[in-house]
Amino acid sequence: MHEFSIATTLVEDVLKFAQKHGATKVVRVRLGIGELTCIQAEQLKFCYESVITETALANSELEIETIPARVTCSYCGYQGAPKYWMDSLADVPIATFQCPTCGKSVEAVQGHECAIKTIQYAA
Amino acid sequence: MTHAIQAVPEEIYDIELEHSLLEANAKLAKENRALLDEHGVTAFDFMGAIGSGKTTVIARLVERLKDKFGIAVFNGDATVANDTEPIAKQGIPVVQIATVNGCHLDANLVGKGLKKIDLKSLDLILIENIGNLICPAEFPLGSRSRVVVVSVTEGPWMVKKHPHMFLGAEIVVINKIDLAEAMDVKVEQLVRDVHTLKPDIRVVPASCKTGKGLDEIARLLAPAKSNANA
Repeated sequence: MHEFSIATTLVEDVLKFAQKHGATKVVRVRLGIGELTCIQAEQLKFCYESVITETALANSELEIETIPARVTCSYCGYQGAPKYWMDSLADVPIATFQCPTCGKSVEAVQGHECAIKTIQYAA
Repeated sequence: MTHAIQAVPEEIYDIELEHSLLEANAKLAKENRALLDEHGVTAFDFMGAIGSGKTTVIARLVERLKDKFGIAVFNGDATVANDTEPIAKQGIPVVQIATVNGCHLDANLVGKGLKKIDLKSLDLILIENIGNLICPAEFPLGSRSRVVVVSVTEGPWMVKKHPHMFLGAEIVVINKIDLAEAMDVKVEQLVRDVHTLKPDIRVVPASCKTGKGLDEIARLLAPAKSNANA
């Protein structure tokens, strides 16, 4: 349940920004989460809601945007979306680090993010 | 970090940011790595489910490596467990890290551990992460490589169920292969699954009971300067 420690960091950091800008009430927080992380959006929202009570973030909304994975291949020069594993047990195809063109290992250049994008607040 | 503040009607304001929540840990992990590099120490982070055999694999590796290298083990557990005895009685430094029910080690805890031991006397640190195949993925510790230990007793779907852990690893140990037949698990299929996710990952089928594969893992971990003797 690493979502709880991430939610705690998120709320602490938003409170710091809010304080710096003289915000009395935070309305909405927009978060970008990379496709390659195993941070579960629903669980993070649940943790967020349990942490924000009685803070300037109370009743604020957490919006989560998924940042798609992008990979690059040092063997054939491919750059773009990863190859997906359709045969996996998940409901959705799983991103792999197998190059879609040459089959060798690729490196991720995008998809590991977990970052605050926007904080919307009332002064 | 703040790029723009945009006023909108109803006096609602936006702060546009790119503020990473994982950055604090990533920064500490880099500091750990710099400290290790400075002392010529290589660290490996062992991850795997509860009961996959991380502690036993590490104990067997210590047996094979302790005469050639200065070696220490960091043992992460939710509470302070006493399952490190087979390792500690081999006469090497062991650092217990209790996460107090946290589900993963983080770079801060490992950094505190690094301050507790004499790095000058070491070549190698084996870090045993918390028994969990999901949470540690997002939290690098400063190790050179990550090792995932899965065992055939966890069933045939471990790789397909936990792809993220494998994407972040360089070495995979498929443990307890002496039980593969009894479990009706095909080791070759698990190897294929790992390579479907990441073709260049090193996969070593192993058994702590028969000793199969353990010398090969020890060779993969042996610091480069003494590779010829390892």
